[in-house]
Amino acid sequence: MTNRREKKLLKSIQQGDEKSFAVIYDFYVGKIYKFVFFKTSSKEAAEEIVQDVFLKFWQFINQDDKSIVSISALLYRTARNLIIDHYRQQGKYIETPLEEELLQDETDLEKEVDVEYDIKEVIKSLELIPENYQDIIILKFINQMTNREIAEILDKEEGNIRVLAHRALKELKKTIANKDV
Amino acid sequence: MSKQLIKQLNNIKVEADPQWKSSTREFLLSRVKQSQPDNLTQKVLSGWANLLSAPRFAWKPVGVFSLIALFVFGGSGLTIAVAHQSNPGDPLFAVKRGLEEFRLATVQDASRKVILANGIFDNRIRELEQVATELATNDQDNTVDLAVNEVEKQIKVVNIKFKELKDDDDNQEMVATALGLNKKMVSYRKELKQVKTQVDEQASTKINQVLDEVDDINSDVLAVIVAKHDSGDSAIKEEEVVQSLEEHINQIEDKAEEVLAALGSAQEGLAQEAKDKIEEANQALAKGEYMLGLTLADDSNDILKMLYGAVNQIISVEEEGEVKGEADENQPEEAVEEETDVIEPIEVEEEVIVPPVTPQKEEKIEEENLGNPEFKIGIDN
Repeated sequence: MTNRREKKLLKSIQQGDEKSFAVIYDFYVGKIYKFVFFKTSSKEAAEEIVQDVFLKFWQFINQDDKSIVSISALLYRTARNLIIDHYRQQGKYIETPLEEELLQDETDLEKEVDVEYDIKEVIKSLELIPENYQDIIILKFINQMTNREIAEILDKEEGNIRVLAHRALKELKKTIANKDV
Repeated sequence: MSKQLIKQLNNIKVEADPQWKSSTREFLLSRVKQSQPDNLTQKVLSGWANLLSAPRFAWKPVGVFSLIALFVFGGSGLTIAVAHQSNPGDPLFAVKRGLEEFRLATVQDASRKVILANGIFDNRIRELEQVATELATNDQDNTVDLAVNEVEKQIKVVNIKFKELKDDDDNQEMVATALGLNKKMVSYRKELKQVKTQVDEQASTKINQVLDEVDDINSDVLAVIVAKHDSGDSAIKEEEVVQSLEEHINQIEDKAEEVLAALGSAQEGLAQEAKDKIEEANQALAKGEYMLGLTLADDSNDILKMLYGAVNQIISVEEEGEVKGEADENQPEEAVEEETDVIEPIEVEEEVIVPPVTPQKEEKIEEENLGNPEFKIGIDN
C-alpha cells in the first residue's frame, strides 16, 4: 500500500468512513494474525489480540492530537505491546536486549552447507529464540516485509535490521541444530 | 546465506479462520458505524469503550450473532450501549444478558468459557453492589432480589464451566485459569459479605447460598492447583499454593467462629468437630501435605454448611418468638405451609446424624420436597 493511499484512507477513517477501515482491515488482518500467532503459539490468543489491535487502532486514530506516519508500524507496534501484556499475564515475559554489533562473521555462514530443515523443527525452534530475534524472523522472512518497514515498527535504523536479520537467522539455525543433537 | 532456511520460512503458511475474520470485521465495522459528530454519540462511544474494556471477554459481540441479537431484540448500537448500563429489573437487562449468552455460546475453548462466565458473574456482582447501594435511597427492594437471583444463576454457570474445564485434560491454560479464578473467588467472597450487610434477611440468606457455591468452586479450583503442583507443574510456585490454601482455611475458620457464636451450646459437638478439622488442616499445611490440608478444610466446611440451617432456625426463633416449621394441628394447612417456607434447606451428608423428625413434620417436608428435589431438610425439634 503506498504512503499516499494510506494517508487518504486514514483521513477517511477519521471522518467515520467504514469502507476505508474495511480496506485497512482486509489488507492487514492476515499479516498481523500471522505475526501474533507465531509469537503466542495460540490460535485463541492470536484471535483475541488481533481483534484488540484493530480496536486500539480505531481508538488511536480518532484522537485529535495523534498523527500517524505509518499504518503498518502502528498496527505491528500495537500488536507487540499486546503480546507483551499477554506474556506478562502468563508470567512468561523476559525482556532480552539485542546487541546491535556490526556484522563480523558473515563469511562463516557462507561456508556452511545449506540444508533443508524439517519445517516443524523450524517452527518449534522459532519459539525458543529470543523475542526480538523472533520478531525479525517473522516480519522479514515469514511476513516478507522490507527492512524499511521493519525499521519503522521496531524503531531502529534500517541498516541495523539487516544485521539483526542475519543474527536472528544464525540463532535460529543454531537452535535447530541443538534440537537435533 | 541460509537460502534454504529463508525459503522455508517464506513458505510457512498460517491463515486465520475465515469465519473469525469475517465476524471480527463485522464487529469492528459496527463500532466504526457509531461514530457520529455530535455529543450524544460521544456518550455512546465512551459507553462502548467501557463496554469493551471491562471485562474484556464478556463484552465483545461476535459478528453475525450480535447482528442477529440486534434484530431479535429490536435494538441498535445505541441500544446495546445503553443495555450495558442496565441492572436486573431494567427493560434492557434482557438485551445485556442475551448478548452475554451469545458470546458464551460462541467461545470454543474450555478455559476461555470459564473466564468469560466469570466475567459475566463479575457483572452480576457489580449490579448487585449498585442496587444494594441504591436501596438506601430507593424503596424498590425487589431489584435487590432480582439482582441476587441473577448472581445465584450465574455462579452456577461458572461452576458448570469450571467442571467442564477440569474434564479437558489437554487444556493448556487450565493452571492459569485456576490461579486467576482462585483470586477472583476470594475477592467475590469479601464483596458478597459486604453486600450482605446492606440487604434484608431474605436476600442475605440467598447470598449465603451463593457464598457456599463460591466456596465450593474455590475448593475445586484449589484441588486443581494442588494436584498440578504435586505433579510437578512448574507454572505453580509453592508459595502461591501455600498462600491460597492458608486463605481458604482462614475463611473457613472465620465461618466456624461465626457459627459457634450464633449457636452457643446448641450443636456444640459438631461445631467443635469442624474446628478440630481446621486445626488438622493447618497442621497438614505446615507439613506440606497440601491435598490432605485441603480435604480436611473442606470437611470442616461441609459440617459448617449443615450447621447454617440450625443457625437460621435460631435467628428465626429470636426474631419471631416461635419455632418456625412446627406443624400445628389446629392451623389450616395453607398457614402451616407458609410457615414451613421460612425454613432454609440445608445439605445433609449421608454420614452425618440428623436430628429426628416428627411424623407430622415429615409429612409436610415430603410435600415441600416434591417441588424441590435437590434439598433435604433437617429440622430441630
